[in-house]
Amino acid sequence: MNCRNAQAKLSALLDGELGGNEALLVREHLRQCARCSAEWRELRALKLALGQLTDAEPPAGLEDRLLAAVRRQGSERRTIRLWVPAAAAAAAACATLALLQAASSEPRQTVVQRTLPPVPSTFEVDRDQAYVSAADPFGPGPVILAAGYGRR
Amino acid sequence: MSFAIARDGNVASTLDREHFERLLRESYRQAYALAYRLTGNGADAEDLLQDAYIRAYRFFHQYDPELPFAKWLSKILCNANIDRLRRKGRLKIASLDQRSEEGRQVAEVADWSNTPDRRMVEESVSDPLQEGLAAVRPEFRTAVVLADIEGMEYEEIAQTMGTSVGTVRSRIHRGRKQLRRYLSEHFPDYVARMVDEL
Repeated sequence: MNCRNAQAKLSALLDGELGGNEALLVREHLRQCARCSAEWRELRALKLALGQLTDAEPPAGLEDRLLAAVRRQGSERRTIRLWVPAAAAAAAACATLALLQAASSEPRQTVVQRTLPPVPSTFEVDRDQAYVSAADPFGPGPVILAAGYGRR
Repeated sequence: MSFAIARDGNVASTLDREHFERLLRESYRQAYALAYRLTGNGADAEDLLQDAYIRAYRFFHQYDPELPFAKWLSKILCNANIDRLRRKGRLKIASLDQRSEEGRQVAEVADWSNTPDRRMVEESVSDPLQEGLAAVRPEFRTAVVLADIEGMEYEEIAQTMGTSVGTVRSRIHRGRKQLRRYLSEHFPDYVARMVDEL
């Protein structure tokens, strides 16, 4: 084993992560090579020193600040969850208005206004399902609207 | 509006929050120590820690209570740190060890003009080891900190950093090499003392 190969394996040997035969070869090289042996000693000393570093003490009030940040995050999420049903209702209302308006521009058509069923009180929306559904005011089936519809 | 946040909202029960807060109280001291070693100063360590706990809370429904929370949090913290450095432009995405894995020759010369954490060096409190760690590339530093300060095995580090054991071995080797070189250049007496004390 040459110096380059041995040096590349010193850290793994130090951490006990080198297989039996490889470890034997590196140790054999260390016995014969003063330069690699010196590097080995420095690496050992370094690992030891790093392991003896004392933990940094957290600043006063850190625990409270972290808890407050997490609670803020939780309340923001709840606000957004409440907002989703409201957005669905708003989108459905806008869609109804738009359809009624379009229908009223055609005088020969008779517009029958129906009452919309209530929008579900809870609503889970995924990123890839960014649509809201509501009852179609002009037909028996549901209508699917893009989530951003009400904001246009 | 963020639909992603709404989707992740299935953790927000009171029981989950209480459980999470208890785990936070138990783990924040150890987590702060790791954050401090990764960032090198108190202000960045606190920001990083806050970011990590918020992420952990958002994805708490993915946490397996059979596993130690501190380990799970360490993984989130290391990833948050890499993201933080990327945002600040202190981390090149094409890392040196990726190139070496492709078999090319790579120079191990510390580039002080583009040191990943110059601020970390400037703010570290006259601790040669902490200053030396700051001079090491962040991916290498993370691997060295997890191995030598957190006492993790390579397999564990690989899981924490989301990489292979081979990459971990390379990062630790090169991280220690950079650290050793920095200390030899800037604190030769310190290195001599360290070796004498073996």
